[in-house]
Amino acid sequence: MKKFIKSTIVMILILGSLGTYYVQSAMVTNDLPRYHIEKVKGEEELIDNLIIRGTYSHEEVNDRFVLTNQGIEYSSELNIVERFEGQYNFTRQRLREKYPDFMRGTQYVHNNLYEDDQYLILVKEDYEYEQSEAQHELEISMLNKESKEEKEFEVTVKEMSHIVDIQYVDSNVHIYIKKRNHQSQNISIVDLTINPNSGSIENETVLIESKQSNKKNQYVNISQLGESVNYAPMQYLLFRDQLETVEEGTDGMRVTDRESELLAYNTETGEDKKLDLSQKEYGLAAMFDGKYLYFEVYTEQGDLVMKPYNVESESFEDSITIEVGKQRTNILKTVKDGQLYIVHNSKVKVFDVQSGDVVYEGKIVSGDNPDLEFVYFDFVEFK
Amino acid sequence: MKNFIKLANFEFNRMSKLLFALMGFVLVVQLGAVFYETSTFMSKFNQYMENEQLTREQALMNFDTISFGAVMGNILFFGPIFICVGAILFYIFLIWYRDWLGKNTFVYRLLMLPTERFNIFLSKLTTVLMATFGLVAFQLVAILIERSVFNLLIPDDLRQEVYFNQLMNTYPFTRILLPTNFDEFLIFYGTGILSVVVIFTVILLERSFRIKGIALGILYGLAMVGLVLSPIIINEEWFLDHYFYLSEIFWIEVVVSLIALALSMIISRKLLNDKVRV
Repeated sequence: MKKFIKSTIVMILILGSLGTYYVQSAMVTNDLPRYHIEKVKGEEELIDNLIIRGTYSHEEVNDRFVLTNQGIEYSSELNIVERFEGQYNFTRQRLREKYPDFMRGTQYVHNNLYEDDQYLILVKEDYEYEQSEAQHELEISMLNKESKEEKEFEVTVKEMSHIVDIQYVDSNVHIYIKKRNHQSQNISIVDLTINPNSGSIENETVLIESKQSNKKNQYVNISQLGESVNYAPMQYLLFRDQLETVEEGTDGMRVTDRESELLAYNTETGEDKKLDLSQKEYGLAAMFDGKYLYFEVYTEQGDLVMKPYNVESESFEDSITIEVGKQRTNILKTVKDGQLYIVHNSKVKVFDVQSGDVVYEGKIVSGDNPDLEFVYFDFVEFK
Repeated sequence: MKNFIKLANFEFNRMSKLLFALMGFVLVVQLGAVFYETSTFMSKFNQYMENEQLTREQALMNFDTISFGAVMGNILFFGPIFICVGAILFYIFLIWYRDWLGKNTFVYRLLMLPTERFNIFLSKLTTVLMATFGLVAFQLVAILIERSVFNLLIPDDLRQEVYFNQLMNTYPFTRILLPTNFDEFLIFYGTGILSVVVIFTVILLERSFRIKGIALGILYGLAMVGLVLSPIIINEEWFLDHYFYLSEIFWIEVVVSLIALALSMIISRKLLNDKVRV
């Protein structure tokens, strides 16, 4: 027995030390508070696809989490593959679970995705250089959710910078791209109309074009106003066409003047119109859900006033006022289908923009740890 | 089984002196890091009070506290860990070659033992694993001792308490050495075990075919690396264009790694039984 003393000591050391370490690590994870959204009133389905991200930080725990109507999931509870892929792309995860074969080979989903009740469209980008000019190949995959029929086609585009949006209108796939001319540096937004039956570009329409100024200190740019759900069908796409004048100051280049125009493009009729909504007058246009543009203003009384602007009728709906206090405590907001989602003070509220009514109200609670002292919510989005 | 335990214990006893010496080395040098960091910090604090002519309470208002993380960032702390890793890597080769190259060709006696020859392979593998896990486990105990010394040397009001799990997550080398998630531990050390088994097979190929065996060993090692990496490589853009999801690739990797492990063990057994030369 004496011969085994050294190996026995080392075995006890290994099992005792590593065992204690991993049991203690597991206990830390098990003690995490189980927050959930408790319905106070309204239609619960409205928050089925809502994701609230945040951090729980208390004593030895500092853990990211995702809170949904189905419960809470902490980063430390994910398995190694999930941790490697991250909790960042719920849309991709949802689509992979629902359409595993169609989604194969898809690395990312962002502006390259369109989804409605019947169709799912994905565009993969690849490019190659021909005589020092980049040629983008767009591989388009289309799934009919009802018939399960899949179509694939490929088109080639020159001077493309990136995909801005994808829509499906009148049995045609519309890929909106931003182009930049290599020589003139002019920028344009182009609508590529693709017939899924022929798989080729039927029409290429320039929606907006900005010519670079002759002045050295002036630059043009066209940007799309961020959509809350960028894969959703949109009646309108909004673009900001701007001209910036810059000057070199002591602390580097700074913008001295900015002229901008807000343009609304109707994806159904193909018409566009200028929106006369200056930032000075109306505040910051923060969000867009395809129909309403949301301006936000913080008042001196400590209120956040959201002013929904109907792009179709070119009129404002009644403002929605949320009391946030003079400290402007952490408030998260997003919009979808004419509904404004607010996460503030451990409450989730959904306002119907047209009526101004609260159509859903919920409270973020936990049975074992009722206060949210150690919780910080930092992002809200849809799956 | 009894023969294997006896043989493994025998192998372990042969390396125990080196193992305990490494443990002692780790503790002494890392305690050196504790003393260096604490004395530097305290002298800076005292000098600050003296230069600014402040009371202790006033000085505390503007002086940053210190945590054990500062010790872990010192080269005297992580240096011994790297030396231990190097020692284990070196011992993976030494554990075989010393039996051939030492006096009285000890391997002759080993191979003549009235037991399955593959037990020699398993006992050497067990010894390397016990040494590795023994050092990792000892590092945990060492940190507890070093933290107690650190707490004794730094007064409470100048000390920032950091939880053990947070400490282990602070530096990349501690995250790899002791990941807080058990599945990562299994993957990191599982890959380590596979590597040791493949290296053992390469050594046995060399011991069996000598000069030709070196070339065979290198080819075998490269083939195993290729085999294990093949699921990841063929899933790239130029071949399968990410056809498989990461979760699928993970399980394919597990199966392929188990195949590589089994293949290496079968080849090693065959070499030990039929080919190895004294």
